[in-house]
Amino acid sequence: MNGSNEKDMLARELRDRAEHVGGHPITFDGVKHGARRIQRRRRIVSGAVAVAVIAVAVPVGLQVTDLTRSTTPGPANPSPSVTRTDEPTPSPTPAAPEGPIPATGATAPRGEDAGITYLAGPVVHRPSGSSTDLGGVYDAIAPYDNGWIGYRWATGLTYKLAADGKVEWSNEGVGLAISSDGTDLSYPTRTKDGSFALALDSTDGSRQMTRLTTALPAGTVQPVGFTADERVAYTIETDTGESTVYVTDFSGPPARLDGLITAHGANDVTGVVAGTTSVDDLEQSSCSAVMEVANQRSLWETCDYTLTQFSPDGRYVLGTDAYGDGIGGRTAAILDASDGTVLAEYTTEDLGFTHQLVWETDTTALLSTHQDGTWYMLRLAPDGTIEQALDPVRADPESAPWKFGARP
Amino acid sequence: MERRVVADRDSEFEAYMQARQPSLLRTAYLLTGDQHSAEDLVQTALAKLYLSWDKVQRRELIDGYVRRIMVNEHNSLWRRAWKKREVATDRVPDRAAAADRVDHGESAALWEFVQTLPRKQRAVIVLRYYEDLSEAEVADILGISVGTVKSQASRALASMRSRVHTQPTLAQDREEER
Repeated sequence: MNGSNEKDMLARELRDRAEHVGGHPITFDGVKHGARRIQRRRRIVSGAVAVAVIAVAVPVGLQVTDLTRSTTPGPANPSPSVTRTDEPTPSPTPAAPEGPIPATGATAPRGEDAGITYLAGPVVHRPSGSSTDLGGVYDAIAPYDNGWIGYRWATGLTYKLAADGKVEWSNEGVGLAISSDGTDLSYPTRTKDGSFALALDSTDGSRQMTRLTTALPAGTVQPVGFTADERVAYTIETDTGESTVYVTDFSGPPARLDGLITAHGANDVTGVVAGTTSVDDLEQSSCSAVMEVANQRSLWETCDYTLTQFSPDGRYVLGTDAYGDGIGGRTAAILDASDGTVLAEYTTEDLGFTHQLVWETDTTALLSTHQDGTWYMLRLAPDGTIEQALDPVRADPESAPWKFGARP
Repeated sequence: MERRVVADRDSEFEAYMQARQPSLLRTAYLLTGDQHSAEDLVQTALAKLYLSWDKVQRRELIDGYVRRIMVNEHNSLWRRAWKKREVATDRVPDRAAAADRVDHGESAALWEFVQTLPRKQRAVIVLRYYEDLSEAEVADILGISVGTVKSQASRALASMRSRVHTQPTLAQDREEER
């Protein structure tokens, strides 16, 4: 049997198999309902991509970076489609690599173990190497009040856990925001009248009173990140799927961030929020911007990436594929947060995909990726280096072996 | 948007949906392998199209847009993760599966082989040999290189050669056990 016959056979079999399918089981009302769900999912997915995670060992000696300060000439690999609203400000950067860097797990050298808290099934692993079986699976977790705080997408609940994993309480709502120095956190909760609110507390539980936001618009609340001391950016999603971005100081009315339809990252050193400004499902593209909260203005915009988390010092911002609903992402980029210059862009091979991407330190990020039947956790950096941060795990694409804990 | 404009827009979208739904369902069935998932996939693709309907300037390109949305949506890891959450919290109504064609031997083995292909490779096969798209068109839809389309199609055919033609009776046995 020759190749042509095989192709014909296959084509015929596909036609025959599809022949009995058809009709009009899908209603217009069902489609409109689906459209609302998509808007809602897009909000939640963006929260998962930018999952705010905290390390047990908070980066020591955070180098507070003034984004307007510069000591070296600008990088050599600018993004061609970044739109800046101000004159670009050169900033100190490592040597910029030329062109996309293959994020190939199999050939990456093995580096040190991941320096953040991560989950492997029900077991939480600390940077120190110790681990604890929590007795339950969570989608994100962070140290809190001599124990843990985490959430599960499946239940839509946030849980406070004792050090051994015993559940002490649970709240409706998901999402965690951590301040860049790791001292404060915010999570969703419910007020007595049943509406969603945000709680603010210290991560060591020393704060006597949990403060709740006031005058939140109605809808589901998800914290994005801290934009200043005791100021948190969050998204509100209404029952119709509309999403809006706000910033609260936990005292006065929240301030709406116009121009963003959702937000994925925030930084309290530089006072900025990264979020999506537009999505085009037909072209499978989106645009993102970094916005300065104090002046309510966009600093720069790109349609090349979805901007997610800022490094703890605010100097860099991570980028993933511009359209997140595709064949899993293939891109992980590190950009200068002040002007959008692309410092390093990593891409997986054609059939691989990226999964989670978070900051490990001020200058290294961790990427979980599936390639050729194997999961890798890779360490990336603005200078384009790459190394394995854990031993690879062979597993199917739908069974990611790790989930990163919450980071600022 | 004015109510009349919305009504016109919805009416136009509904007409497209009525006309193209059966064809989209067939492609979706080949991608997913079961009726319920196919309907779910088409509904999601149509919902995304509905959200972007006003942006469609050239109506003759709509089928291509929907096909791309559908294939990528099916391959999306996030979608699978989300679906798991939905299944975990919502009861999925029972539906009669699409009646499997009574078949034996090579044909059954072929279908079983298609169902075992990884999602991306299966998408290559469906687009290339059912939708009859060019390698370049398949590459464009999947966001991969033409070389990868060629190698995936070639690898699938080689695999089919060894697994289907050499062991058709195995598939036949499994078919009869159902």
